[in-house]
Amino acid sequence: MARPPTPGSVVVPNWHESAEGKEYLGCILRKNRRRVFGLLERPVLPPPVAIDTVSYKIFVSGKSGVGKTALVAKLAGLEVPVVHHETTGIQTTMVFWPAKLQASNRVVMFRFEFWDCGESALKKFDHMLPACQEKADAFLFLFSFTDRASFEDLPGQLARVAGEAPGAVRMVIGSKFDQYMHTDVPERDLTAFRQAWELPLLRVKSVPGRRLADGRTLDGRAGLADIAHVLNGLAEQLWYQDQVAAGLLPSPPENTPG
Amino acid sequence: MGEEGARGVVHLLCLAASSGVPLFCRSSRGGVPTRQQLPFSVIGSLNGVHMFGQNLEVQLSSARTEDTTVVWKNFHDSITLIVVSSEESNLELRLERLLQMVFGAMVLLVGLEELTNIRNVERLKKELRASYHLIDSFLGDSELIGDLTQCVDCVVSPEGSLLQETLSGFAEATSTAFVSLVASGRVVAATEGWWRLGMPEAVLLPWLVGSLPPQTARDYPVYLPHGSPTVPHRLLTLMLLPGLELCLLCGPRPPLSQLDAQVLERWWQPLMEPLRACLALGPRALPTGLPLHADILGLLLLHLELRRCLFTVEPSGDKEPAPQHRRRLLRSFYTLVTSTHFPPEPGAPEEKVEDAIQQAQLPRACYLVSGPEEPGAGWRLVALHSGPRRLLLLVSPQSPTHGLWSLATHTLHALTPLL
Ligand SMILES: Nc1nc2c(ncn2[C@@H]2O[C@H](COP(=O)(O)OP(=O)(O)OP(=O)(O)O)[C@@H](O)[C@H]2O)c(=O)[nH]1
Ligand SMILES: [Mg+2]
Repeated sequence: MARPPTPGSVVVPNWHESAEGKEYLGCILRKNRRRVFGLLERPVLPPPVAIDTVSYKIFVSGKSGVGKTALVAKLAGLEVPVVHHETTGIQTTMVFWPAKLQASNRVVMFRFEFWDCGESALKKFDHMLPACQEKADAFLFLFSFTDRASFEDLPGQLARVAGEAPGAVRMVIGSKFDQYMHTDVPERDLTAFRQAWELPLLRVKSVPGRRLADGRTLDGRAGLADIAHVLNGLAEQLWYQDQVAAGLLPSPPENTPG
Repeated sequence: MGEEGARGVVHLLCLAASSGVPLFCRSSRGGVPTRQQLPFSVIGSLNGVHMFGQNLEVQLSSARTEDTTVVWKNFHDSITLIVVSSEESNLELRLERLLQMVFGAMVLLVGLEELTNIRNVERLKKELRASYHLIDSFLGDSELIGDLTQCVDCVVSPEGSLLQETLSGFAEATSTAFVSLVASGRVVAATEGWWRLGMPEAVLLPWLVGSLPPQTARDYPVYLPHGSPTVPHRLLTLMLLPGLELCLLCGPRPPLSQLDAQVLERWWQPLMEPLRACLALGPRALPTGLPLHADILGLLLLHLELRRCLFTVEPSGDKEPAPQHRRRLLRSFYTLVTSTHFPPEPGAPEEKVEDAIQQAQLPRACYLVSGPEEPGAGWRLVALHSGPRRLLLLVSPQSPTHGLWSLATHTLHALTPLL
């Protein structure tokens, strides 16, 4: 895979907070909540605005309990599970995210399809891993800041899961960052890992966000602000990867861990 | 029966039969899941007394105190389920069926093998968590009733034949015999294969889909408690619209990736309006055009041979009592008439003997007034049995008693083409 772009060089980082950005975000919200889209639906923008939609399949990988299901729920603006229930099979979640491109000043609608599979189901049923890997555009490798073993397993994961997909985007995500006080993964280990692998690394807190006045419903806008950096990061990597694949950008030299 | 104030607590205990180790406890209070649990000593005694009986070859199946009913059930000599309920209207029939459904839910998600041959208790406990959503939905106030009637909850769409046609075409194109369209746990349309599914899976599968948190698509291994308890099948669900899911039960093929948005759009986009209408239909379960008498506050229509039912407490809208209360009244009434007046449904394992002798003396209808005694004050409940159908109505207190029989007969007549 090509060396990742510098953060903020492809997608305008804080565009979602601008007046224009907020207007676009309106189409993935309804009454201040995140809207859930069915497979036959897509966000609708007011008539004069027509933007392109680009779809990507993203496989979320990591040890049982690192927070795959929680992360996907957080990205979709749904309730995050507070107790760990192993995911019994594959589940996919569609997330729409409008982002503005630096180069063209154009807004593009990203349609992410997250594939989440419980680790024990993955081990028990042979068809699941290939189904998740097949035609994946990106792999998210999760480790948990509170589980050292999940961090140490990353190189193994990278080889096992994305070894056959050299063209796909690979990102590392450190989950349970809100528990950083109790971390088993010190900063220097992260630095070493980044130097060795040159992969984009994000930190997430998949915890319930702010609620609306009723005290029950999750506040859609607040939730989006919590996870915009993840969706923008992903959009950026994927867009860049497509450009490289289409020969629109000079491909930087290959990197191998050294 | 089933008065508003009398909402009790239900505790469900699951133990490994041989060791008595608790596998899980689920509880609900007033129809809402609660964390409140029975003390460990009580769990121990409840299991102890059952085991004591068993050692003497006495099967202890239920017990009653002034305000609580306890039902025990052992499955495959491996799992013991105990339910303790202080809900007034919970006759044994209700609780026995609850335990059957709970065990079915456990098999559905972890498989019979794991439950009958327990090697690692901690591992099993973890796996069983996957069934909590489903089990809690049996303990809570559900809009569905299939757990009790052992018939599949259905919705009748005015565009039913159009949906059915597309569903069959889609099933053929994906080479899948078992396909259904499910709106909030109720079946809108299904292929013949799907309708041939046995009990309890025919009830459990749509119920499972309705109880899980939303996902765009799923590919879950499921074990069919009746049809295939040890070899898993794949349950694929595809959320066409929030609350409306296409479900496929299949083997290794088709892969989930084959059923992508383009394929689904090609088949289902032309039916967007009828699909949206299914959602709007929701708890009403019946087409809006259907004329129902304004006194009817709720109805349950069962087809005992097809094992399907229509259950609604919102045929007309916003009069008293609240929907939950209406559902409770009809549930209690169903339990009552099924345990005492009408014979158990064909297919239910417990009966069959002396059918022919009894047939002649069976009541065809019964009615009951619930609530205050004064004339014109209590809710009227009528049940009518005719051929394979059974109709239960909840009728407003204003409705004259002498008109109930004809009201029920007319309603059954009007509903007959639907189910
Ligand atoms: N505090 C905190 N808890 C988290 C975070 N992410 C996940 N958790 C908790 O960790 C537990 C496990 O999370 P899941 O998302 O269910 O784990 P998973 O990776 O999907 O596990 P499997 O499905 O078994 O493979 C849950 O109780 C979550 O609430 C986080 O960022 N912060
Ligand atoms: Mg999970």
